[in-house]
Amino acid sequence: MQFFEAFGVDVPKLAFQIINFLLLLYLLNRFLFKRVFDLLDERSSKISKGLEDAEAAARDRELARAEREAAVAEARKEANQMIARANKIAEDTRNEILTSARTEAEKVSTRAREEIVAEKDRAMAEIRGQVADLALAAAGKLVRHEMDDPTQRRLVEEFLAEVKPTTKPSN
Amino acid sequence: MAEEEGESLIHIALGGEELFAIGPFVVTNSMIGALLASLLLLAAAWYVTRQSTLIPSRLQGLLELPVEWVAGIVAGSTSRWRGYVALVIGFFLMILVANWLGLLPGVGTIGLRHGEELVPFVRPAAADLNFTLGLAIITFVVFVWWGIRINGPGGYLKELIGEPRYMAPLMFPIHLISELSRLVSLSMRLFGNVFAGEVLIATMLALTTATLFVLPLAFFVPSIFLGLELLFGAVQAIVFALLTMTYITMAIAEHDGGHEPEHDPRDDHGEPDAHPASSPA
Repeated sequence: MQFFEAFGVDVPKLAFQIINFLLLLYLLNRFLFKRVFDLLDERSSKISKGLEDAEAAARDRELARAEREAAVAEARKEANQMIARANKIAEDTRNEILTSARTEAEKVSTRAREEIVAEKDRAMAEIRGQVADLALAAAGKLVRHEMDDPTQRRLVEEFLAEVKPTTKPSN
Repeated sequence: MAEEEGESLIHIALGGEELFAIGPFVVTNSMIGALLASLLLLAAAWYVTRQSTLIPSRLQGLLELPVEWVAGIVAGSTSRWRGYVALVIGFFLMILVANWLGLLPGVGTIGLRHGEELVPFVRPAAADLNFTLGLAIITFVVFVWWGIRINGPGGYLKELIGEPRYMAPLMFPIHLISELSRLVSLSMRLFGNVFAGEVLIATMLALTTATLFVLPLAFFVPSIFLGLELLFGAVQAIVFALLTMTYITMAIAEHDGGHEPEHDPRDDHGEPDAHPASSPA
């Protein structure tokens, strides 16, 4: 007890200190600690939620980017396909047109040739007739002697038939 | 503080000194110190909670910091930490403020003159054994109460008796003394440190102002010790608070594995918070 006396310890002072601290503790706990704990809990949950959200947003952004890239690639591929198809169609059309034009031209030229040949044949026949008449007339005049027509005609035609290969058809 | 009175340079009182008396109740200067520290804490608490926001201002963050820090330490002790976290933070804040209050200029130098001696109005609360013993008694009561609450009165008694039952006559007194020694060590450590700090600063001040020759030293030598006391004040506060936590933790954990399963549900409870954050990643 002398020890406590030396340090100035006695019950009322001790009680005062204990009561003072307990009162302070009660007030602090009631008004500060609970409040701070709530705030800290709220803050940490908000922060973790924020981080989570940010992560989700990053994920979404990544997804959207991939989607966009895929769409762009798809579109590019499609466009390329379209161009290729258009090119092919153009090529085909061109070939078709060329072929048909060529065949048409060939047809036209063939027909023209045929017509020319027919015309020529007709002209030759005509000429041949006229030449026979002329020859007959000339021969009659020359001979001054009338031969019966059918015989003369046969003779001349025989002659002409012989002559024909040597004369040029175009003349 | 220097009082050249005969041979002694400084005036040292081992306990709190009487200022005045209200009826039979004596008011000492260390009581004023404890009251001032309490009021300061309450004012800070009022300030923090008055306009606390989710996104803290600088001052709010500063005032929340010690609470958060100690709470973080206590939360790692046992699953029942919510039951005693307030006490530990309360000890820390009270002792810290009371210690630092004692370093303010004017504390210990402004007071009433009783005859030849100056009785300061304010004395650092922890420089009075009443304060430290009072806090230690609270700690003692709380950790004994936790021990009885967790283990039951019989279980607590069994802890005191110890494991080999035949050793009881030897072990029981030893355990009893070890429990009681916590009371002494807690109170005397805090008191000794703060009281010694006060005496040290007073001594330094007295020495450096003793003669004109060393007077220039008075401007910075005591400051060095003031800085040290700032550190010691904080260290003693956290030591007291954490020892209290440790004693309570030991009282709870002395109970065997029957308590352990309660550790896991909390971990499981804590995990669902962390799980959705980590699993989608």
